[in-house]
Amino acid sequence: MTKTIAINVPAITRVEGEGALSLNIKQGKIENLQLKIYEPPRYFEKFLQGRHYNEVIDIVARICGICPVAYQMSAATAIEDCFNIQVSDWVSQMRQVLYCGEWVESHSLHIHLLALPDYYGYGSAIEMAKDYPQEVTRGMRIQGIGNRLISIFGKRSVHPVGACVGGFYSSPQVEEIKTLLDDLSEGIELANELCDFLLSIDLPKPKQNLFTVGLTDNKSYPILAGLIGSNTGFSCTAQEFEQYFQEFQVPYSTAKQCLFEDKAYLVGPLARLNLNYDFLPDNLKQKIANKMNIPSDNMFESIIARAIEISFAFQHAHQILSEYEETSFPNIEVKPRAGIGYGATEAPRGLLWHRYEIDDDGKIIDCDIIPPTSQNQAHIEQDLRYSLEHFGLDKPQEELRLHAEMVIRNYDPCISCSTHFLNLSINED
Amino acid sequence: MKIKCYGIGSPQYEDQIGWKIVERLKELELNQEIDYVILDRPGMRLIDEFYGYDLCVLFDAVIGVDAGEIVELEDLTIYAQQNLLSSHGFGVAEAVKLAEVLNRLPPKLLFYGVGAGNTRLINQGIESVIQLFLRRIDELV
Repeated sequence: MTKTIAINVPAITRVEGEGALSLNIKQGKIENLQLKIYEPPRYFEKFLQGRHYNEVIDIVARICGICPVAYQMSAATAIEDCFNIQVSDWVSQMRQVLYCGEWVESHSLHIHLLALPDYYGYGSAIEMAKDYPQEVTRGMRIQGIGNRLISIFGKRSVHPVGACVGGFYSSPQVEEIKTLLDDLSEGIELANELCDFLLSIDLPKPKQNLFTVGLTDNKSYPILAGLIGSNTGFSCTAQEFEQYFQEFQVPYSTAKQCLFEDKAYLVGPLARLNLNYDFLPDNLKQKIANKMNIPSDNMFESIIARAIEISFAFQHAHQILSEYEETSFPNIEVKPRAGIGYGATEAPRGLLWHRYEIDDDGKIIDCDIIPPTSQNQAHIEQDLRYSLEHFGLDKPQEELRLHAEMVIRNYDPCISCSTHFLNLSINED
Repeated sequence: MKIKCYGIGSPQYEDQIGWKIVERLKELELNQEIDYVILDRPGMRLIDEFYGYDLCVLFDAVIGVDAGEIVELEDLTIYAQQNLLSSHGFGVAEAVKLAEVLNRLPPKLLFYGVGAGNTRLINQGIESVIQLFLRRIDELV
């Protein structure tokens, strides 16, 4: 093969936000491959400076309409770390429940609206719904239950406002939780069906060595807390993250990339499943036994990991809420103090790290937010090189383009989240 | 006939037009029994909101027409994007199209839009839509 192929995808479809792919193949080899994120920088880290700590939770929720809870929880835990605050068990548990709602709605949205049409050869979920109405309806119901969970604790499902530093503004009533438990029981059943359905799909099977990073605590499937660990045995605290993980700018993208000691790494549902499989409920472990290898070395099994996490989230929330009691103390008193705080939680798309430097009055001096899509960007490029070569670079251009888009979509990249502050150094003579 | 009116939008500037129309309709205390709801960018959640109603009336801001211009539609599905660039683009037309595919549309659906782009024309647009809606509801009920 001696021809030169240039594939340009000016707007990648069915991802959150706007990005492009540029790919040059020369003499049967990929010569240049760039995932270009061209959404303008959002400057959130800049306009958080000077804000009171209590405003941060509501402002960072606006970074993403799909995963606002993740931003709120990483910010809250970082600010509480700075102020040396320990939240109550009630707050810790209800935060997990709120976060479960977000895993459910975000994963279900990605599976049904964005990813699944790829595996059945449809251009959109609307097209797919004509032939698979039950599956799409089930996905919408699952997402609806996730939204309801967020609404009860967050007071609304999009950009929730119920959480604060130290806990929640109020405690939901027992009666409301009773009806929610019925929904969660239905969700467990529906998620069980979804897992079976996805496990029956004949997914592409390229195998690669995955370097995975996520929260680990050796006792649970972590959502809100833990060490930052990898499948190579590395671990560090959220405070130590910057010593090992380097965020940097590439000239062709407004979103920063992040490497672990110069290596691309994977965060997200498949990374979590590989790292914390042992701590899933037994019924979920049995469900995937003999149907996929753990640790998985197939990125396309991310869609199954998302479904397993939906099941886990429903079960986990149900377990916590089955013993729910209202509290008169949904938050604890917060006294600001100057310092630096760090928070790392598991957003639906993967590890979300925050750092805040705060003064004695509780105002933000400086902050840094590293979202999962920034962390996955280098891995997406690495995966594209590998997957396209495995797919066959001699395939027709249109097939290569569609396959490349499918590889990118599989990461559920949230481009809007990842376009954040660009540091410019201007020298004037 | 069970009727529900939906004010669709967000707290941003002219995107509140749908909300303001529904708030104004509530104040009018019409003779017909109508349920009202205000929705903040509902996406697919809109489909669940149709359940159990015979007539669903959507009010929203629109672009692509002159500011303040009124749009009355009975079939929104032709405006749905087939190949969505992003779930951010899953709007009212896409939700209605998906509801149609899933056989979950109400027996009758009406859409009223007001062209965004000039804040001063909002109130005029709101009153025009309400007059149009009141005449239509008299015909239908």
